[in-house]
Amino acid sequence: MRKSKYVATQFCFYDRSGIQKMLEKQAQKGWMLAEIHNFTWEYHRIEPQELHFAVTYYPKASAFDPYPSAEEEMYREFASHSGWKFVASNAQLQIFCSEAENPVPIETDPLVELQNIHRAVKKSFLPSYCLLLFCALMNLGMNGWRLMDNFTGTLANNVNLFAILCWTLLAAMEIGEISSYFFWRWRALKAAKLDGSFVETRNRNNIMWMILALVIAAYILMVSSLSSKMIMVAVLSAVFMLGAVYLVLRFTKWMKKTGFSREDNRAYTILATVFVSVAVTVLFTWAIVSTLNRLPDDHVKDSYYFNGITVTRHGDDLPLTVEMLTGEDDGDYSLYKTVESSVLIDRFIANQYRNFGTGEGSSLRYVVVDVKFASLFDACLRDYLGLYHNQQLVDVFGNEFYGEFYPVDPTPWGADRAWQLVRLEEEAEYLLVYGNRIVNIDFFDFSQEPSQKQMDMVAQIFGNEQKFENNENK
Amino acid sequence: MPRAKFQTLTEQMFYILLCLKEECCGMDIMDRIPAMTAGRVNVGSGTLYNLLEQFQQEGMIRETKVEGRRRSYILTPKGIEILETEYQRIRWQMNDFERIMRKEEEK
Repeated sequence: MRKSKYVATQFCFYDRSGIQKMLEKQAQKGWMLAEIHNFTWEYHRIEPQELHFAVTYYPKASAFDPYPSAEEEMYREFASHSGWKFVASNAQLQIFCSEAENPVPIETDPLVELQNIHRAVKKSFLPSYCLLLFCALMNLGMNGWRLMDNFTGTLANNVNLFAILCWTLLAAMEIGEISSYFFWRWRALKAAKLDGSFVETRNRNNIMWMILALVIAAYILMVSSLSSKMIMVAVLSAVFMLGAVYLVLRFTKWMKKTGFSREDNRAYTILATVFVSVAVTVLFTWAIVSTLNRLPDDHVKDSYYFNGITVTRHGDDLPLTVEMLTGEDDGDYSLYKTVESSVLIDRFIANQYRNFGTGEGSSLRYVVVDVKFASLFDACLRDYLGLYHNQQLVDVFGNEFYGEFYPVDPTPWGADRAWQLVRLEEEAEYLLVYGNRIVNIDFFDFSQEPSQKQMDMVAQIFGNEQKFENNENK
Repeated sequence: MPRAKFQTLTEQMFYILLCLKEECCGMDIMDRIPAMTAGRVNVGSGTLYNLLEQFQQEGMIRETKVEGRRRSYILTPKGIEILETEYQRIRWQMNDFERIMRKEEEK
């Protein structure tokens, strides 16, 4: 029979009622709390018994203290004098137990206890949660800006969606925890002043575990949708991040064991956090870049020289090419495609452009966007209709203007709706809608406007529900 | 209008201060109060520790000696005054009670 166990434990800092109940249940099963680690609580085997536990708060303690101060020792001796044995502590949190049947509680005045809890909360729980909330809101702000700048592109990437989900959950959790604390405190103060009773805290561990499970499930879903190279990046980033956290925590623990003062420990921990973060970022970037450089690029067909520079030429298979549209094939093209896919949007981007130094000729660029949820379609369409709203042009007279898509007859395109780009004049770039599909196609440097035969070809290739996938092995 | 701190005392505060009429070690207060009140009033160790700290910050008690981890305290004049005020308040309450309740019984 094992003599010790480690349990992943998640409690709100001020949830003394929940912690006490859990420890009493563990004692009934024959487990006594021995030590509180960063992510787990360590238990040792004892005879199953009924024990009373008391969770109290000593605001003057710190997570960086190498050993309990003389005052903290006195606090524990006070408890010991009334029959409470010290069990474990984690910064301001102090846990005691008593074998007596009806021990005098350590806290007998709810108002004094609430003042004490608030002093401890102000020192640790509130600052750290406020900092996390600030980080979450800042990242949500950046993601919000990214959404405004490139709505469809941001939503077509599962990594972006995962980041938005995580930061949203974190912000919601921090707001929930902070407001729950103040609401509980308000109720508790009211009850303590009215009849001297202590309002117990509510256990919200299930919500915490559900959020963690949701994040892990979303992470697995996100990773499974990536290409093999990006899976390696995702896994490596998780490993490096966890490694950095582990290093800093071990360093802090080592300083405590060695006897560094609280102030020195705190200062060196902050420095170590900054240093390790920078070092891990540099190391991670180097590892990814050097590994990706060694892997063959599936897109590259060959290379050629132009003005002393080596230029790679891509040879991806595209569903629609210049050769198909013009019937001519002089082979001087580079064909490149990018496929993005998320739970909300699939996006296929194709570029066919002439090689440098081969003279003038047609180029082709198109983007096919499949919107999976009808409620998102209008927003994605607006995103593409506003594609050139931020690209200011100036004519020979100094007049400023922007590109704008104007509606045209969709019938020749076999589309539901169609627009044509107009800047100084009508251009050969179009926006077409086929059901829930948006196609942005640019006939760059074509000698004339698209013929009916070319429009029919576009309708045939993009007007069905055919998916365009990457040819990279997953 | 918000009440000033320690303008009225709880029972536990009252008995802690009463114990410190004479020099007393903090830990011994936990034993004296139930003895003084025939077990009616008990003060938890955490509550006692925090109240001693608050009384000291308010200047109601002062530390007299430190022997290792045992610290002794005694009431200051301010502490005596606050205790006297609380005693008067309780007496007035008692007098009002007797006046109203006993009068009804006489009727």
